[in-house]
Amino acid sequence: MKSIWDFITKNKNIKGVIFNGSKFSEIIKRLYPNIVIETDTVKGNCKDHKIQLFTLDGIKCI
Amino acid sequence: MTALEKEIMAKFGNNLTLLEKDMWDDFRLFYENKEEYKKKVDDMSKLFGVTENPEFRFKNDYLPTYIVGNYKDKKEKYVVISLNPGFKEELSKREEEIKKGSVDNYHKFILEFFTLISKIESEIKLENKNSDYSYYNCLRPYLSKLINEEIPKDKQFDVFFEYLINIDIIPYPSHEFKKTPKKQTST
Repeated sequence: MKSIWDFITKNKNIKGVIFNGSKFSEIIKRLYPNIVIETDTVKGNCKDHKIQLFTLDGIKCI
Repeated sequence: MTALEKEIMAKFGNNLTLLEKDMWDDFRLFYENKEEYKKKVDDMSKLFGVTENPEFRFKNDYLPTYIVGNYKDKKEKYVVISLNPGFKEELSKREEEIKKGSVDNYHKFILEFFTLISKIESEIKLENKNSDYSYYNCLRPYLSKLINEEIPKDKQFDVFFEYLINIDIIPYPSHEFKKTPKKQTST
C-alpha cells in the first residue's frame, strides 16, 4: 500500500480513490501483517492532500 | 546494470514513483529471470492458501498489471483500487499479445489500456465469443455521478480513458480472488 499511496500523492491530478471490493482491510492485513496504521495513513492522505476517498457502497470520505 | 534496466532508466529516468519502480522491477524479473518470477507469484498464491486451486491460483506465466490508465495525462483522474486483475482466457491472452515483448509495448498497454480493451471487446463480439469486461460495467454509473456526466455504455471506455486509473494491490491475475479460510483453532 505504501507504493500505491506514494503514487496517489505524487500525482496531484488525482481527485478521488475508489476501493473496489469489500474485503480490503482483511487482505491488507494478510499482505502486511506488521502494518496496523492503514486507516491512519488513509486519514492522513485524505486531509493532507485533499483526496476524496470513496467506496463502491457510496461516497465516503474516510 | 542489465540492458533492460538501462533501457528503462533511459526512458523514464529517476522520477518514477515507488509503484512504477515495483512495476518495472517485476517486468524485468519476468524477462530476466522467469523462474524467479514464477517463484515470486507462487509464493503469493501460498500466502493466500490457493496453490492447489487453479481457479484461485495467481497466474505465474503472465506479465503483471500494476497500473492501467492514462496517468501521464494531467487532467482530473479517479483511481480505482482493486484486489487483482481478473483472468479471462480469451481477453487475457489478447492483452498479453499487446503488452509483451518490449518496454514500449508494455508502457503503451498501460497508458492506452481502456482504448485497447474497447477494441478487444469489439473483436470478441464480432467473433461471437462470449467474453467481456463486465468488471468495468459496474464502475460506469459510479463514475458518472463523480464527474456529473451521463456515460453511454457504448462510450464508457472513452470516458474511462479520460478519467480512470486502475491499480491492483496484487498485480498477478487469477480467475477469481478467494483466499482459503484460516484454520479453526480450538479454544
